[in-house]
Amino acid sequence: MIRVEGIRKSYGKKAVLTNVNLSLETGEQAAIIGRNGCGKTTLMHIMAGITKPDAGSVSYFGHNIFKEKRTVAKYCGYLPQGDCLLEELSVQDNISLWSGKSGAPSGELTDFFDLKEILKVPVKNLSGGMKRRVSIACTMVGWPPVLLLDEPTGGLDRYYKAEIRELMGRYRALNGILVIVTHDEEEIKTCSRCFELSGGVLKEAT
Amino acid sequence: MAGLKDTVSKSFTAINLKKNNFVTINKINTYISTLEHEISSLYSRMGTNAYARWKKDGGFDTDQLNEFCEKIREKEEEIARQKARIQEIEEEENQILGRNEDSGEEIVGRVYCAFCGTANSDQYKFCVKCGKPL
Ligand SMILES: [Zn+2]
Repeated sequence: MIRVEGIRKSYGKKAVLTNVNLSLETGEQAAIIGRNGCGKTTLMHIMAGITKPDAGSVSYFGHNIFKEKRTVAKYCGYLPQGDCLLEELSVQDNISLWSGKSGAPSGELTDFFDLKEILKVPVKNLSGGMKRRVSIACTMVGWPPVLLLDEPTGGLDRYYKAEIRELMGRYRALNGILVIVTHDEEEIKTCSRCFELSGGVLKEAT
Repeated sequence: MAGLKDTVSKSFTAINLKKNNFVTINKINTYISTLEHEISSLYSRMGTNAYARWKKDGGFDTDQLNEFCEKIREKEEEIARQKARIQEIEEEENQILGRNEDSGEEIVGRVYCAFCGTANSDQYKFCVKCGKPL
């Protein structure tokens, strides 16, 4: 489970997050919504262990990510906004970069993301939707029980949006915890919970 | 956001799990009553044999009595094991239904986490308690 408690973060004089709390159990999918610039990405960065908060804690399954070094690597996959791929490299090589293991990725991952046909294809030859699928596959190489996705369907057309939603649904069915930053109504509907970040605090929307 | 779908799915979880356990527990109970019958039959045979021996020789065959008693004890122990199994199933059911009230996932087949021992649905890849791969 995820426990985010009393997160505070300021940049200079500007307080971005004043007191963020969030608690999620396995199999839950939470949407984080809010105006642009409200601090959603900062919160994701903190949860992914990239940015250190001024105060507060984040823990996955009882392991504090700022106290136990390997927690994020073990428990959490993070997809930043946009894609995280090297265009010139093949799909397989991109996945290898993330996993740190050379050679073909596991059959399980290939099947889950339906990558078999495109493993050897350079990323630059893929469509936007396929790239996103590969990006999410990269964040999932270690099968983390928590996935943080920053606008996973941002910039995609309807068809690919549905595909990514379906992927997220399958991950959730495995009992994974999904936290997504989104503006997409359809996507918010597929979430079991929805939180609005406003004025530096997170409020559950009903 | 949960709504009707989740409520329905949650009820299904409980119904499915309870139905499966009900069938299993019924089977175990049938087995237990068979064992109890066997014990009664052993008592009766032991008594009949002992009396016949006493009538004939004016004493008992201790070896034979011991043999009967041992068989009875074996069956009693088996009954205790089966009753413990029922209790385990019932406790687990409570644990699972309690734990999954929020997620509303269906639990039919079960696997146990190799790291913490928690019972999980066999559809899961991540343990509900510790998040480690199943
Ligand atoms: Zn476990």
